[in-house]
Amino acid sequence: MGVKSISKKKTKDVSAEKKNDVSEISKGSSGSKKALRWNTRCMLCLVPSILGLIVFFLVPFARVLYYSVINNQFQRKFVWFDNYVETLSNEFFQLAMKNSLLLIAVGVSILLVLAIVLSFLLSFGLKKFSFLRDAFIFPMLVPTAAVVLVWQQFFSGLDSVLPVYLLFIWKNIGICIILLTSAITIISPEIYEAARMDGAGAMVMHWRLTLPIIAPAVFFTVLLSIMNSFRIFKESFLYFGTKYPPDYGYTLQFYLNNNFLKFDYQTLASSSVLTALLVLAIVAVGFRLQKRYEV
Amino acid sequence: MSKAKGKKQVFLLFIVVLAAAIIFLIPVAATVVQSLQTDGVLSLAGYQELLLNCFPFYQMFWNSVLYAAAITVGAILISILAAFAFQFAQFRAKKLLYILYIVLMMMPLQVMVLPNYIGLRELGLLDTRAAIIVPLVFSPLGTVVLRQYMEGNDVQVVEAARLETNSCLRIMWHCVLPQLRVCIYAVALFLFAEAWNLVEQPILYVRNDDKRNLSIFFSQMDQYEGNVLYPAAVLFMLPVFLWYLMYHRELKEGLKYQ
Repeated sequence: MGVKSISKKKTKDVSAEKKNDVSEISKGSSGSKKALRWNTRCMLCLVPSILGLIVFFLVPFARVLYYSVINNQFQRKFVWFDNYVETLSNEFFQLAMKNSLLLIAVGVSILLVLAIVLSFLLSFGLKKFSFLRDAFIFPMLVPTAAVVLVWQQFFSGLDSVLPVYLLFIWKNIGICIILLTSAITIISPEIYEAARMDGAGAMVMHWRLTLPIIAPAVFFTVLLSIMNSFRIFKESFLYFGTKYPPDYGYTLQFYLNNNFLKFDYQTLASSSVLTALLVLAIVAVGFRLQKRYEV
Repeated sequence: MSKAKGKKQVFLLFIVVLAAAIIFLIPVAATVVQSLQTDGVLSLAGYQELLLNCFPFYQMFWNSVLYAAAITVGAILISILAAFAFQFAQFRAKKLLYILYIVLMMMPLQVMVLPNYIGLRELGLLDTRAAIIVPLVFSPLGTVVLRQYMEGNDVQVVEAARLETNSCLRIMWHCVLPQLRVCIYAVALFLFAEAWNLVEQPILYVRNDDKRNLSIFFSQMDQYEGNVLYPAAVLFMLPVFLWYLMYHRELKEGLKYQ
């Protein structure tokens, strides 16, 4: 009995190795037939998720692509890239794009530097006081709408985009610290022993050692923060309390949202596609950089 | 000598970080303090006004609970199934499909608003509560995180269990879920916090406030009289805060593996 089950397991292992070759599995022994059935069952588990994605994301997105190259909903004339040209030359789109990119360049940089400094301090120098970390992680769970009131009261009269940036940093530093800290905790302490023997100071050690080791986590954190900066709409919409914020607060999200409310599908479709392309480009560059750095 | 200097340095750093931590907690603390005062005097009048006279609050609070609960439960179930499939099924375009999940996960909401809206319109779901719940149930975030975590799991248990049964659901329940517990808690808390924080979907997919959640309550602050907003904000934070306390450890543990 025991031997039998072991040999059975072996056939299964073999069939698992030939996993990509479906024909190989289907003509195999009864064991691999079972494996095939198991495989089918596993694939069935994916069905609900895929169906949802197709209905709510993929098919509609294909339609958005289609909308972005026709002139309007009624004539449906194919106009190549006219909508894109129009969107790109629209001054509101340009303003929105500028503000969104500024948030990525300035907001994300400050966020990242702060998160790195805090994660390092609370993991090394101030390890005893690591309970302080919770204070930085907590805001990530606080619903934005609940703290916007305080924000408005603090910064009433201040005519600048600064409060939105602060809200962004306040809300997003938690996840950055979690990601960076979890990368730091798995570094083996022996590495530092060696460096200390060579007489390296703390600053040099972390700059030369820790940072390169956790580079993949840093890249992932940057990527995630950029993605989160695209989600700033919630914060700025609630903070400004209007669909038409001052120029400095007008980001891509407002642009898309307001066009949505106007049911201007062509503009909306082309700017959605452009934003999607921007995100894709950032993701692709991010992964490329990460790969290069890992080697 | 240098040790004393080091101690002093640590102390200074501690003060700086402590100050930063306090600054980070101020917004929440200030909200609580503000909710407890009326015209500068300590009182619960705000809460009284809110709970006794502000009818929309109940309706919107209930909507928030309904949306957050439905989205969290639905998304977790679908994500577990999908992550399991990604981990154990073998098929041709698996890697490509997984990349698609990641890309969709990264897409900002505003890009997906029009596609979602079109999908909902075709299904006749616009202006219903389902319009807010259903698309989010299929958000790929849970699948990606759970799958990532599953890769570090013990596969041998599953292999052994397959000798006994061929049922995916039984294997999932007995061999995979126990290992995933921590991660599921973390993902659930994440999804709940996000769903509790919904702003865009209720504005765009439903027409009336009776189907909107509490976040929207705060975007119409000028409509309400007296000090009802700060008490409402405190009550709004409370559920997420309680959940955070409950799964505090699990969350940190779970995210270690992300």
